[in-house]
Amino acid sequence: MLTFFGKKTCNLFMTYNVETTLTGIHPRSEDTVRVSRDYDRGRATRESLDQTFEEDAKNLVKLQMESRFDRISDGQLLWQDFLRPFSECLSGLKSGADLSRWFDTNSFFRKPSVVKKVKLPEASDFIKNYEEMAALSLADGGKTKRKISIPGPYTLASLVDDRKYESKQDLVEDFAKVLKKLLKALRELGFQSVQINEPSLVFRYGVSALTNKKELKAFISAFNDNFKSPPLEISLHTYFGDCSQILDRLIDLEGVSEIGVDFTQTSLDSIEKVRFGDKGLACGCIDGRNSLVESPDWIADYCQEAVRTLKPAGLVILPSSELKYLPRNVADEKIRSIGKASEIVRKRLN
Amino acid sequence: MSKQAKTPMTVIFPLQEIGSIAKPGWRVKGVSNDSRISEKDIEEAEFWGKKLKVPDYQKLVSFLKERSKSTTPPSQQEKEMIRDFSVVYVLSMFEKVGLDRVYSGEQWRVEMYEHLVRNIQGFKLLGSVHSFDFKYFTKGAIISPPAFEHPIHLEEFEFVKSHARDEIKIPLTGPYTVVDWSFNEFYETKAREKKSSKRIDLRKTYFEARRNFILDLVKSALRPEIELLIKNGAKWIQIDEPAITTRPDDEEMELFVDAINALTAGFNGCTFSLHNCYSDYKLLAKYSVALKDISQLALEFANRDSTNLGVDKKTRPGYLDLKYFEKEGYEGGFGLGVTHVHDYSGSPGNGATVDGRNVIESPKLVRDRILFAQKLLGDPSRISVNPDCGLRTRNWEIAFKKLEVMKEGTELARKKIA
Repeated sequence: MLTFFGKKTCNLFMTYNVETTLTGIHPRSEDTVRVSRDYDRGRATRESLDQTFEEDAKNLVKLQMESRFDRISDGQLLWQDFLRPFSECLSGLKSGADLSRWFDTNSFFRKPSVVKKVKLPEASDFIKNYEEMAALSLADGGKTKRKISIPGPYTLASLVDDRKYESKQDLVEDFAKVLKKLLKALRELGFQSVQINEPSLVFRYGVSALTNKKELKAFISAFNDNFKSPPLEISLHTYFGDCSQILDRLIDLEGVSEIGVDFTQTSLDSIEKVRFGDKGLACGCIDGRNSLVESPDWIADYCQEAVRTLKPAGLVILPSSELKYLPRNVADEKIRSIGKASEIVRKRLN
Repeated sequence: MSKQAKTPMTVIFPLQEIGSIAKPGWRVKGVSNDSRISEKDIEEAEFWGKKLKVPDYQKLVSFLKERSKSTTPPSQQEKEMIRDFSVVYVLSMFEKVGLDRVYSGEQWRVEMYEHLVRNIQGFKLLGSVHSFDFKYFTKGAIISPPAFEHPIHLEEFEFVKSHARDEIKIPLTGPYTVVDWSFNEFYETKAREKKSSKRIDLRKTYFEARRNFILDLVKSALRPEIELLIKNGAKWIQIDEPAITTRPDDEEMELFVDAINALTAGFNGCTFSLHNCYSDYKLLAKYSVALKDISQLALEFANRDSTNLGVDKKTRPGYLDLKYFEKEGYEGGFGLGVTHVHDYSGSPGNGATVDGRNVIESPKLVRDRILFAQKLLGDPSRISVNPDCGLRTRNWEIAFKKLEVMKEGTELARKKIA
């Protein structure tokens, strides 16, 4: 059993840390779908839309609590796409009109343009929106962490239409600075955990840090410069591609508690020689794009095998990607399954 | 000689529709058990009926007036009458504008994906999935082997055939898109059962399952449907494949080509075209030459173009993508997207205006887009003209305006060529 433990937790009297969380935007409920569709067609009021979203978020938080999740998210249900809050509030970014495909999924985002140096204004709408969502603050006596997922600097720089910067490296650096400031603001708002999602680092189609060493270096440098001493817990998650080629480089990043692996794209065999050292593993073995709900036992077996092989300092069980690609009822079933799996894994590893 | 010469069409730059048109309020509410027809719906039916000279539209208006007072749900016969009228309205719109190839605006169908999978054995609809903003689609899963159960589009085709004056082009959602937009429960479960290891390579396992799904779908459900349509007089089938190049690697593109070739092989007397949009055309071009029976690629270009007038590379960046196809040796025709179909929030150039969330191209802009494409391709017979995609995202007023502009712009281009 001891061999499972990383450096930080290698102590007979410590329990192996297993946590659960969501990866990002959760699907909207069928009720929210209906009301938002009606709103879009001028058949429902803004008030009824807001009420429906709030109810939806409350139900989702309740489900996570019932499933004993450790890091609770409001599901980011209001986010029209993963970049929208940024394109609407960062100075230097202009909201895009044209639709672009979100990686290889069947969902789309409005591609923002960079028209001047990107900055986070002091009182940005992004923060304001989250103050409003603070109505969902969790009255659980501090057992759980309030969590949010945001796009990382490399993904932001890869997905915008850059009309200002001379190099992508500079843009990555500036987005990292923006996020550093945002992390501080999120901490002040009561968030304890931030997951930085970096699908562009490993996206299996097109240009990514997998094929561009210069860009990978720029990302690592920007990350270490800005997140070395983060004001709250940071997890870095990679998905939509195979991270085996760069995983060891990510493990060396400073300030980050866990590295996330999308096991629907990365085989465990291909990373079996990697050691996580003092980093935890965010084990994305629950397929965020597949309606087959993994059984708690299957998830537990997979996680246990991953821990046995990679020897991470801790384990976070989560979907491979955001669950927004699934109908809500299926996504909610996956939450329940993750919750049950975590109980099994905790028992087995402790 | 281009493959498109197979078509009997002799007019230069034939005009074609390419997808769905928004369902009018009276069409949606008229078949709903819960909604009531409003005054506005009746006015809309009357306005367009008169404007488009829809045969017997007064009958519809009278019926809607009666229905608006009723509290009981419509009967099946009444629902069918509403549906039929909506098809006739769309055909009247297309024919009033002067399109050369027409269809129903998919008024008969729920939606391009849902309508198909609801009518193929083996699928189960699971719920709504987010597409963008407040747009969603219903996603299904394959839970047993797909099988042809009953004709899917035949009744619709027969109805259109009996009401249309022009050439008919039937849209059929393609196998790659159906598979890409569905959850693959049946084949993935089978594939996983074969591999008991805790270290299962999910990516490899799922690709194998995807291949089995697509080839079974073609063979057991889609080919029987095409066979039936052709047997009953279909001369042109447009395979809608918006999902291609979503997963831009050779493995996936080869799967797409294999599926399309398997779908279209051996049918005589029918032209096949393929519609794709918002996609990677460099990649599609690479595989376009391998599509054995596809005579026309109907693609979106206006969305990626400028709205300034001109026939040079600088003002027509969107149409430069045609060069990829030329470079790869593709010799077939193009359905050239010349009008934008989504929301627009930029500042238009000197070839367009903005009306609310819509960009309205001028006829001269449409003309320049066609002429530039013709300059790149050489042979004008390779070009048909259409909107970028279905106009269902626009209301009828804007859709009609865009179709009229398309017609006027094409006339200008025809004159220039002549």
